Amino acid sequence: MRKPAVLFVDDEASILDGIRRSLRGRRHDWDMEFLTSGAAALEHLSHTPCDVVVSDMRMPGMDGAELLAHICRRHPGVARVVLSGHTEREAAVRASVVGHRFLNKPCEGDALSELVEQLTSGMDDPCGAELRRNAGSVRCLPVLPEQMQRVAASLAAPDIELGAVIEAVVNSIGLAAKLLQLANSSFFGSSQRVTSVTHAVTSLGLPTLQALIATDPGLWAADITDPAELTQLTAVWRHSIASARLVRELASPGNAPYSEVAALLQDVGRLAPLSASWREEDAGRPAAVHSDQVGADLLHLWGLPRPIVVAVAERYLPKDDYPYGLGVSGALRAANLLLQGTECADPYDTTHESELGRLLAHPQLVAADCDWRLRAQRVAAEAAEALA
Amino acid sequence: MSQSETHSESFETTPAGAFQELATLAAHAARADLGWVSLVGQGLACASVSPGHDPQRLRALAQDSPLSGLVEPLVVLDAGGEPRFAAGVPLMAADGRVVGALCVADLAARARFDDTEVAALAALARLVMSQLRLQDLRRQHEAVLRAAGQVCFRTDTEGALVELSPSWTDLTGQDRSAALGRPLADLVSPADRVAVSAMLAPLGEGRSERLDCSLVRQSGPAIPVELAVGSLPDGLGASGAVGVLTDLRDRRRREMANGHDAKLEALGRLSAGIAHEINTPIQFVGDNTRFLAEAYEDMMQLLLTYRGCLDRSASEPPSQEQWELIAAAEQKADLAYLSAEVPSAVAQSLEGIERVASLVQAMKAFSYKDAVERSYADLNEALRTTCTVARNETKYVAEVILDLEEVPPLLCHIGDLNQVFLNLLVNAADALREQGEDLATGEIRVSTRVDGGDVVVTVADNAGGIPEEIQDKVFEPFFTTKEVGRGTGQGLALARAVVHDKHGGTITLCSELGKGSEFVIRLPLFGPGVVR
Repeated sequence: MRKPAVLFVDDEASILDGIRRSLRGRRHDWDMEFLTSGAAALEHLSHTPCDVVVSDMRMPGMDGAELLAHICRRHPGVARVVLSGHTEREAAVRASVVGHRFLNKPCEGDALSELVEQLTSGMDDPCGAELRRNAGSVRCLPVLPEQMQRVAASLAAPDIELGAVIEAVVNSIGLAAKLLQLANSSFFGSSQRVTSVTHAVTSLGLPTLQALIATDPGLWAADITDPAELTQLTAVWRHSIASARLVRELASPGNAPYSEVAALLQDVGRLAPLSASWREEDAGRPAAVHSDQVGADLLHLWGLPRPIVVAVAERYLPKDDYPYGLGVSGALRAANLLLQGTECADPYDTTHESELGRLLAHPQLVAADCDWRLRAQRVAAEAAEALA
Repeated sequence: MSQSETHSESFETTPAGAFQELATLAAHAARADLGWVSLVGQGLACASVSPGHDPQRLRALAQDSPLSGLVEPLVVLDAGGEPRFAAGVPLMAADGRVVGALCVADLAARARFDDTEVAALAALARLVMSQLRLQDLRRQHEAVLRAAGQVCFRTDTEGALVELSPSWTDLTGQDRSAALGRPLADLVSPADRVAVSAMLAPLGEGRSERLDCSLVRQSGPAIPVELAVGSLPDGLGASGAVGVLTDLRDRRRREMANGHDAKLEALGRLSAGIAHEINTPIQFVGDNTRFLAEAYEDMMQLLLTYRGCLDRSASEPPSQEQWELIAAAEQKADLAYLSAEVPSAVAQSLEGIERVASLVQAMKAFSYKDAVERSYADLNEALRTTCTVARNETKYVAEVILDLEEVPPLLCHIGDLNQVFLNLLVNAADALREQGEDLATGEIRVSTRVDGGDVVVTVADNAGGIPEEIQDKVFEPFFTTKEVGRGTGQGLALARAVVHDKHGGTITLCSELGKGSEFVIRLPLFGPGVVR
């Protein structure tokens, strides 16, 4: 088993010296390499395995965005971290579509080492590397043109209504995922965990959202020509949105925001193969493995809060017992199983009546005094109508 | 004085005087006791010419006369009442509207009043109409002057004001009588006096001149105005010069606001770059300091180990066990590494702090707020400062070469000049970036030298150059070739305003496609108001 390998790239040697010294305590845990140009970094990666690359954005010659885009194509399994001192929105948006995580210069004490720690954990899983290559290559998740139009229209309205913007973003799951990724990085000015789409939109601000969807329309394109594929995908979308609506009612108040985002993003793994970066470079890509796990790894790479990542990873996992309340995972599982009997069922799953029966008998759901099956039918109908 | 008062009257809009004369003329022409002009909605201008009659009574007759509402010429030879004779012609505007009547009347009846006499009255009525038209034009003229914030004036051959439009009071808040009869040069600020006198004195026929100056007032701040003067032809009419004073206060305010916009734009862009320039050293100074804290900890542990051994074995050499302790502590501290890295970490941190400090210093010097008055400044120092401030804009696209010769201190607005230098540097950097240049190939050369009585500053780049057809447009406000959001096209317009208007210098562009562009600023060492 090799040690996790981390590559740092910055045109300023003093920055690299500083990082090398401050991470000296980890020298036995990680193999660290420090290089001063994008070209040198690509050369290094061509012969040496690497798990995480931390790059500056503005560099002479090949800049950080270009370097990370190359790495995304050639070495999708390498987690990409942007460490930048830039403050302009333009640069931030450019970084946001190539990086997984974003750190500000100057970054706080242990932020960098904690981040590398997070991104290298679980790498000893036998299919971990395979998963990472699949998840890592995703820069943006596809959004259907009409969904993107709805977002653009809501932003172009003479009196912008925040509620309308947020609803449009929620229905464009790929965009919602990107916003949650960005909002959860200090790079974009947020210092707290962002657990709802509303919070993500308000903390990033509408100008950033506008800049993001305008940056490169190709990035967001979901160019789905096969009608069967489109039908399948629409079913996945419908399921996610209905599940997000239903789980909001099932989960305890504290877990509701996490549960809602987990439900909304539970199928990003199925969107990944349709993303622009997957389609543009198929050569050498391993066949998609366990798309549900790819989704969880993608959300982990993108820095979404841990309860969300865990709930997505465990959403097909039957559990007999939830001794401490349903939590995020249990609430999501309950919502998904309830929806199996409705028009918003998960097309990749079947019914699990006995497990559903046990879940509905859970004190947390009994206490709500609600006919959950009937409620699920209603929510499914509403969601289907909202998406129509 | 009396002359000037008459002349000033002719700019007035009150009708009374002129109509009075025409009414008298009408009475004489008709050999009548009484003549009057009646205007719809404006009353009468009455004249009685027979000394024997009571003017009050005649006026009352005119007032009551049904003739005042005429629409066609009317002659009544013997009315039987008072007056016995009356004749009138309507006053007809160009569009056929009747605006009043010109009338005559007698207390005695007449035998005849023939066509020739009616025609004379009609001719006089047309004169009344042209008077009205003249008044109308004057009123329009005055309204235009007021709206434009302008004042019309005429000076005699000596340069003294003999006519002044009423808008003078609007402009200055002062009565015209205080200004009429005085030389115009007396009313402008002392600095402008010589120029204004010179402008009014030798004007040849058909020549006109313009000058920006300021009007001084007894109270309140001076008013910036544009003075435009044209000469009057010698002849029967008035001689001397006529001119217009235009209030420049609003325009100046707008220009200031625009200049402010341009400054804010440049500063906004700079501040992002400066944030980056500061964040970078802060990052590694922070990292190094954390490392030094750890290193100190390790060294301290090692020192304590040494001390422990010394204490126990003051007189005898350390035991084998102690040697091992020391070796373990030394290995943990990694003395070789620390002794190599600690000095370097300290040096780099100090260098980083120095970088931030000098940047902050440059920012302070750069944004030095100009006093209204000029002050002596070192242009080379200013250029170095500006290059430091703009480093983040230039450092990825070009090497900036400073070729600064010794130049004497220049009396100038250094804050404004800094802004000009900054705009030129940023433009050069943008041009190089568009061209895809980098550090190895891009070059910005900034030079200073003294040439005759001028200090010459040049900023040259080796980017693609500026096409000839737009070279003379680059200094126009709002002209830009940059993409939307990158620039508003005010930078070079501001540069010209600063160099040209504030310093009496010139800024020119030499550019050749494929070779690069060079901006040359010439600033006179002994500009206006500098004693040599």
